[in-house]
Amino acid sequence: MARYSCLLVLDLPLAAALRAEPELQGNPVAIVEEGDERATILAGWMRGLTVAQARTIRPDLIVRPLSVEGVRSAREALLDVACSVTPRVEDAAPGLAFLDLEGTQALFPTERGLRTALEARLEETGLEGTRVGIGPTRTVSHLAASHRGGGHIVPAHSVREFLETLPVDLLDPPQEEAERLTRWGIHTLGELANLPLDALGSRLGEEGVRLARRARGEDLIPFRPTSAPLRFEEGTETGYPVGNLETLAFFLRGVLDRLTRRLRLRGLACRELHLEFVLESGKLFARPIRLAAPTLEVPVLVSLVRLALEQNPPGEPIERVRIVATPGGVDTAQLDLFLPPLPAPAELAVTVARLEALCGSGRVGAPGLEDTHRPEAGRLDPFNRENPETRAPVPQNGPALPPPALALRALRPPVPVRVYGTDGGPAHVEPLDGARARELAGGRVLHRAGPWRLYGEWWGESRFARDYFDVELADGGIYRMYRNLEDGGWFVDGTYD
Amino acid sequence: MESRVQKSRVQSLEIALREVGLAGRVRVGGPLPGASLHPAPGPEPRPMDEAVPPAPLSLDSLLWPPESRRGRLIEVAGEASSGRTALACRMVAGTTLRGELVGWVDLPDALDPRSLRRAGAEMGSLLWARPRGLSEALRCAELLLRTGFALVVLDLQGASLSRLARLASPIWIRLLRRAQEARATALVLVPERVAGASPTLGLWTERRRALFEGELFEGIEAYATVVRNRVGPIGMEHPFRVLQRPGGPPNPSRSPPTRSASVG
Repeated sequence: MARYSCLLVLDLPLAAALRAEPELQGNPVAIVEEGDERATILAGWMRGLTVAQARTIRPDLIVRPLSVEGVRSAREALLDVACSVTPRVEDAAPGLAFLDLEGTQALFPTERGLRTALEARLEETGLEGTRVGIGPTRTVSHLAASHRGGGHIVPAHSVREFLETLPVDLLDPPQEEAERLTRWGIHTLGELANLPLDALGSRLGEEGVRLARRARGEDLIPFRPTSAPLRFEEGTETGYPVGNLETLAFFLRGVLDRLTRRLRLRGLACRELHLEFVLESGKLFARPIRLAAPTLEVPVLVSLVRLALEQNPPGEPIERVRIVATPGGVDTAQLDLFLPPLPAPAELAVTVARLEALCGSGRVGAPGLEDTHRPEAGRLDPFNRENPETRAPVPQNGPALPPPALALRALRPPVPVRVYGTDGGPAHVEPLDGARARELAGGRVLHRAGPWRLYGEWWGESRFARDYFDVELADGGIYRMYRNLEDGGWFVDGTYD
Repeated sequence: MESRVQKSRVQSLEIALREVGLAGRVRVGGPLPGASLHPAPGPEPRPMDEAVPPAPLSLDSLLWPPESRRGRLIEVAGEASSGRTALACRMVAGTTLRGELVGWVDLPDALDPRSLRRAGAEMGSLLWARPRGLSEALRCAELLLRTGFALVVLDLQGASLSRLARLASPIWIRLLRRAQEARATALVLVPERVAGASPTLGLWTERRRALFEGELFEGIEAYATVVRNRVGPIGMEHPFRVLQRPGGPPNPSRSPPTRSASVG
């Protein structure tokens, strides 16, 4: 037998405002289109009055502007909670979602447990006031969520008893039909359900029949599951132009906190952030931030955003913040009993993200080799921990190490040098840039090997043609240096060590 | 037995002289019975020891003991081009080949991936972090040790000596504690000894000579002196040789000096 659950947010704009500013909970809050005293209150306390009128009744009324982005995020967060239980979810209206509970018994053996889990997850995402109802049809579950604070669980055999005493107003009938039903003395769903459909149709028309069928707990249209897109977007209005990074970090923390809570519900982590700031002049400032590893750590994400903004500031105060998170899977792996212990994948991902927050974006990863013959070519790949299942077993006596090999310490970028000597090779080397004298003091060439010529990639911008030398200088170092054949410039690009 | 003790004392005195900058200016020997005049290591290259082993390194047992991890802080200091980085790459190779993770905190941004590959390291097991400052580098190293990396190489050769010297002793003690808690190894590469008495093992490397054979550069011959050891004697010298192409032809990618090679 089918079972459905309903998640109902009665006042979505108000819920969105409370979600963005949890400290407003318990205070009278009104949502208006514009921040003017003459504006009409759209949601929250004393809907329909102007702000000035409402303030005469409640001087401590808190007024917040309607946030379209906040409402959309709250609606998506509601769907995230629903999708954390079952993939069969219907997004019926803003603030109204139905869950098909078929197959969820393995996760939630009892419907009471399911309701508790849903309420906890709604609270986790900042949608505390959301009502939950469970019933055999979507209509019954909706009524169970709407009636007296919600939270009702209606078994299939007691639908009639449950609906019997509910007021007709719960069906939200049109004004004309509602007045007629009141004149007829029909006040409860039980009374409405007992009316014959033919007679009701001849008097109230199609709308009357629909009301009566809903009063019996029937669904008028079939369940339409919607696939909630994996779109994680949160935003906030700062309320005033923010030019200070510390103040901005306060807003960023709240936005990122809501984002990560939603990601956690779906079992995902944040792989990439896309910042969008509306500046004081109305311009849009966009900046992508790619993370070295998926993470859900808010301090790490805040640090990364701060680093990105310090390196590339928007240049103007910010009025609106919007952050889109690209989700990524959290690595999980079964560790091996017979291999050395490794950090858990999630812990490793957090460490990589923290390192990136310390070092800066694009400065943490695994060393990689490029497919080129340029000696200095190297790159930084994303650090993907090797799957333990594919790791080769380690010999009991330890692995066989290759003979010790000479290492090169790269000088990035290569140090431009002045070279003396006319016999085809350098005889004396000194750096052109005095600021890099600590890396290369220079001096007389004591020993020299070379040249050997390397040229390649003539088909592209990265073409190179160089004569390489290995030199031992009087400063005590042994260096690799080359002469560019195109412009004749000399460079030292590494120290042997 | 007595002569060994005397020799060890002489070597300790030599190390102390080197630390105060009097290496090569003062000769050690004389009054102690049984201790002969011992030449102090100076800038002049000493004759090549025929018994210098290319492999296996006698240092392996010190740097990379075959037993399980113990929680150590190793400081490798020395002059330029004396094989410090080669020793670090070898430790990385050994650790990654065991299937463990290695972190390389690269303050000077000097790590060469080709050198790692040549040393035999598994690149996928190495996390390379390039901090912008000394304090960030130290925090990166601590973070990696806390996470469970078996070996963390902290390359501080880009930092100025004055800043390194100003680092307080508790910083190195904390690093050692982190390594001991994680039963991992922290390897610090520095141009001069800066960690004081904190390291479990301290090595000072010097180059004996550069191996320029004909017109090819083959590698370097160096030795590492144990200047600090909590679990063994100090003053021991470990010669080693690191080659461009160990075990292979001198340098197959390089043509004879008078010819050119196209690799395009």
